[in-house]
Amino acid sequence: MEKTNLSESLKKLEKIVDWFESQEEVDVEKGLEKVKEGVKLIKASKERLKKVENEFEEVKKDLGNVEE
Amino acid sequence: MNPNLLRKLKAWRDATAKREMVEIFRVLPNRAIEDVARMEPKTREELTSIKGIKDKKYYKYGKEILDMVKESLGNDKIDSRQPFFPPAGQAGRNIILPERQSANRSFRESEGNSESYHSSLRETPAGREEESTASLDFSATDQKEKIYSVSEFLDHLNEKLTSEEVRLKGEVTSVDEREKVVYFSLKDEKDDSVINCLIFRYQYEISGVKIKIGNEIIASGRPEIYKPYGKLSLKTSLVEVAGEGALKKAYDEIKNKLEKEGLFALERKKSLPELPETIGLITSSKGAAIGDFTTNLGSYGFKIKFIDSSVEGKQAVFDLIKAVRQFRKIKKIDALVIVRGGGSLESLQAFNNEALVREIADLNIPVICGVGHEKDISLVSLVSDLAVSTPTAAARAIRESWDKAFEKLNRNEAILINSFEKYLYESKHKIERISFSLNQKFENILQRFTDAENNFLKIVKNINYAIDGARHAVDDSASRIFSNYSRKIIDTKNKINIFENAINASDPERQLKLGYSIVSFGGKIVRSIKQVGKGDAVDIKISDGKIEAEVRGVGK
Repeated sequence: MEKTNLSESLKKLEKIVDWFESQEEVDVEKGLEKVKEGVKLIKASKERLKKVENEFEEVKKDLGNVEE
Repeated sequence: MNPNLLRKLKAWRDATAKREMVEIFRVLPNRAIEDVARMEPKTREELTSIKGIKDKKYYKYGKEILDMVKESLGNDKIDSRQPFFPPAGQAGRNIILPERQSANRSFRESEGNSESYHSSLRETPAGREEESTASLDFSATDQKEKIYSVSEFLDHLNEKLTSEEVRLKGEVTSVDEREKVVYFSLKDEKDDSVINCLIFRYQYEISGVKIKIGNEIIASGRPEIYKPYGKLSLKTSLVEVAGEGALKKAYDEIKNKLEKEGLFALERKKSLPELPETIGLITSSKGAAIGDFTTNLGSYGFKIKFIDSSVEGKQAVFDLIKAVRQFRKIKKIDALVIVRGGGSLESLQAFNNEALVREIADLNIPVICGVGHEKDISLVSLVSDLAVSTPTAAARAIRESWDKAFEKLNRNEAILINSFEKYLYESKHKIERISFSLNQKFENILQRFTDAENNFLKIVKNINYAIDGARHAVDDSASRIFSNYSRKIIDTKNKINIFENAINASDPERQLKLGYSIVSFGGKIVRSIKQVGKGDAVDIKISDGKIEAEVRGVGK
């Protein structure tokens, strides 16, 4: 999952949560749809946010001196 | 493991590192030191068999290490060392020697007390040079004495001199700035000794210290003999101002200057991107900072691109500038992190270097600086986009948005589930409410039905009453009818009798009484001769009973 996708997913999720919190009248069918979408986003985001070991790479130093 | 030797080796390493302005592991890594203390090598072969001590290290430190081993094993007698020193013709030598011994011993014992090691430093290079030269080249009696050409000899000396790195303090007595090189000379503060020095222009500029007659400076470099003149000069790679006071003054000057230029201004600061992934890292691979940084980074799958750079000593500023420039070329770095542990103004000099500060200011990557400081914040910290005081804090800054994203995700997940549960609960509630009101409505209907039923029953009852009433009315009137209409009743009775008789007349039982009988076979009334045959058992029903008979024959 790309980083931009993660940001996007988190934003979309935020929107869904906002939607839920702003609803006064209950629309179960729409709510179910939103929950389904939200759960999908959570799953994908968790996939990216789960424990992933960092990659460590030593960059080869440029040869030569600073004056170049 | 020889603990005494280990302690000695460590003290020696501390002093050597200080003298060479490098981190201690650059002198010898811990493992190598421990191996020496364990194996107690006595020869070059034994020593170089230890991992981390190759020919280069042996060349630099071998003799000192072997001496320390020998000393710790109790073999080190001053007497036994004496023959290694050239005996005569060097008047000062005999006077210096005991001083050097005592100085050496005192710094070993005091674990690098700077005063005593400085005094030992002044004497040691020359002394050691004599020793190794004597033992390697000139004292080998069984070898034929070699005759050198001048050039060969100077080459030989220069080769030896490359290991004589030094940091020299002195007063500038002459300066000659050429296009590519700056020549200057330094004078001893006490006895007017003078050494010629030169520094390449780019190194001079990076040093950021003006070489001016009368100024006291520190020149770091190694001596070299310029062959066409046979003249020794200090090939300088870095000049620094000498003393805390001058250092502080230089720091303040650069700080004010860059501040006026707006290099430290808030509006210049770039913000760290959300969820950074690719992180550039500049620090020393040997210090504690790298571990502090990486272990506190968490496990979010960061891609760390690391450039190993010294962070202290005369090489540091060059390494750092090179690393920053290299990161400028590497695309797709989300943030650059520069870390090192804390230190004094002096040890942080590289981080107060104007050229380095400008390099960082020119970067278009956000820079996080995690460099500790005692009193004055480093200028690199001031120019960086985010300054924290430890490598750990730098790591936290990098992971912060990830942690937040993670927390937010969990929170939103909880909210989502709660909302939906609440939602479902509300829906359930609503359904209950609807079904309740439906029930009520339905009950109304039922009630009406029940009412209707009751009404109906009432009506039925009334009808019954009416019928009963009617019946009574009928009974009551019977006598009247009897009396009034008795004849009519008698007529009716007669009529009934007539009907009765008529009915009786057609009753089969009555026919039997008249002498008729009914024959049945197999439960069926026999109506035709075809129904029975000879020998069939038939029943004959007559008025007062039954006769069981057998057919004897059938005929018309």
